Amino acid sequence: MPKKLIYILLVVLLFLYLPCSVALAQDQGEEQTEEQPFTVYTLGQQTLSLSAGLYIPLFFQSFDGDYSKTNLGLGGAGSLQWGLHLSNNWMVGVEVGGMFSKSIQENTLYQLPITVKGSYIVHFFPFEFPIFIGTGMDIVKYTDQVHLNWIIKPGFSSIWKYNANWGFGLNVVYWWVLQPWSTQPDLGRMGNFLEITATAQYNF
Amino acid sequence: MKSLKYLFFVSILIFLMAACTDKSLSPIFFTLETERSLTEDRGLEDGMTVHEVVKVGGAGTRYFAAGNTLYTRTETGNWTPVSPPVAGALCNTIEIFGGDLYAGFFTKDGTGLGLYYTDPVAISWNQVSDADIDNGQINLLKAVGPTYLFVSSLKTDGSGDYFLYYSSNPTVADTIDPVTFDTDPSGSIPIIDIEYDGAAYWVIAGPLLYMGPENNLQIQATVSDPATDGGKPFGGLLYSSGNILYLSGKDGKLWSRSAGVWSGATSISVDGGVQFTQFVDVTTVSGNILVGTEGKGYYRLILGDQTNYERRPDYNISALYNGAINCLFLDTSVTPEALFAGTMNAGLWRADYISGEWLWVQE
Repeated sequence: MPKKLIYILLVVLLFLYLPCSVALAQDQGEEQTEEQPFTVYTLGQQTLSLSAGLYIPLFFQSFDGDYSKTNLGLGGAGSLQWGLHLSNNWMVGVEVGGMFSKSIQENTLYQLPITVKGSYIVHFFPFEFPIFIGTGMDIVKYTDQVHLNWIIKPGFSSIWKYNANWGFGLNVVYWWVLQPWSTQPDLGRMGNFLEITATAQYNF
Repeated sequence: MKSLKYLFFVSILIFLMAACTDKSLSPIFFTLETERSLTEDRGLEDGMTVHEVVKVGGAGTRYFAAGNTLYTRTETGNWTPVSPPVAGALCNTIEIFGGDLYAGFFTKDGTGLGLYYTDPVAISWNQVSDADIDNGQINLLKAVGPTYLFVSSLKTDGSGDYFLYYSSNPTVADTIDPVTFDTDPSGSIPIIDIEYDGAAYWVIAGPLLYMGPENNLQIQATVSDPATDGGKPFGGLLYSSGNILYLSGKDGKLWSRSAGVWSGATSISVDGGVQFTQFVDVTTVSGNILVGTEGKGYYRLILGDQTNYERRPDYNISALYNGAINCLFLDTSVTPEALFAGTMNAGLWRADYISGEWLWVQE
């Protein structure tokens, strides 16, 4: 997929997605004349989230800036996240994820990122829009080779609050995996992937 | 205290993960970036076993592959089965000698059907008529030396032992003679390989190594050194275009013999657990010697030096990288040069030598 198209796709996703969600929330708000409950998070409240969905390999990039194909097909991704609310808008947490994707030689690439995460939650009841960034280690396995690499995962979600405890929605997360190679630096690459997953969230 | 324990175990996990990285292999993302499709689909099953590949030249140029069923194809065509001399017969040994295709057949229950030959273009099987072979189970066919076809077969006396025979014209009845050993290989030890170094014939049978002068195939004397560890069998022999005799062992060892001398310093133990098999000389193409293994693909001996080696192919060609190689066959009569690898249960592979690399596809 051409890199420019990928950037455009991400920007379009973000800018179509948020205003539409906000507009929908505002419309609902205008129609409602009665006072409605809204979610308030306080320090110490926790959230557990389970996500699963699509994994899109985008491109590899060398540390010199050259782009190349991944030779990977569409895959699957999932994650389990624990979050601790610091305030109504801020949350920190830990996430353990996983993905799989097949290459053109029919081998399967696996990744298992373990990240710490910070989120800023934008509230438009009954919707929440966490914007977050996670960073940590990523265990990458392909046939006989295993690497431990650094990963950064920025992303955003849209959550519909079903009730005070449960929420359901969609995650869009960018995976940026750095894979330098000390013995031959020109073989080092940065992996760029996109995760689009459905999520179920439980607050307690 | 609990959090310290968790931190400790996580640290150990991180350390173990980091230790699994093999710096001798390419990094994962770079390997993925350079991948190419391996499927060429010339009609063979991906999971089949291929014992031997040969090629006949001339007007009817074609390849033959013994994969229990005997197959054939032209240089550009797809593989098609060749009808055996007996319905349902299987084939595991083939050789081109004197312009004819020779093949050993057996039944599905393992009973030998003897040795047959045919014109490679107009297939019409004739059985090699000789009491020594009769309907024996053939396990080795090799054209070696100036003018001989060597045949290894189970003895027809019911002993379960293998023996070695030779002939300069097997199409003529009763012209196959036995090779004489100072100590016969016994105990059902198969004859594995034979090679000619310009002055003598070398034979390996299990852990036994024999050498006999060119002018007298009636005497093959046991050679006690080199020897494998623990009585493990030898794997294969090769006399290279560089006038070096190579010997492999299923104990992970490789030897070379130059100027008539086995050099003890050149015998090494490679990656303990590697079982070496057959060699192929690709020095005219890439300058190297290749040797197959049982379960670790093949090894490249760089410029023929068995102390300078690396495991091949790339690890992402996992079926071949972890494959058991039955045979390696080089064809230098095509452009680019082609290298065939017959495997156990992983099909037949072909590599074309392009831009200094062997680029593998599965046939």
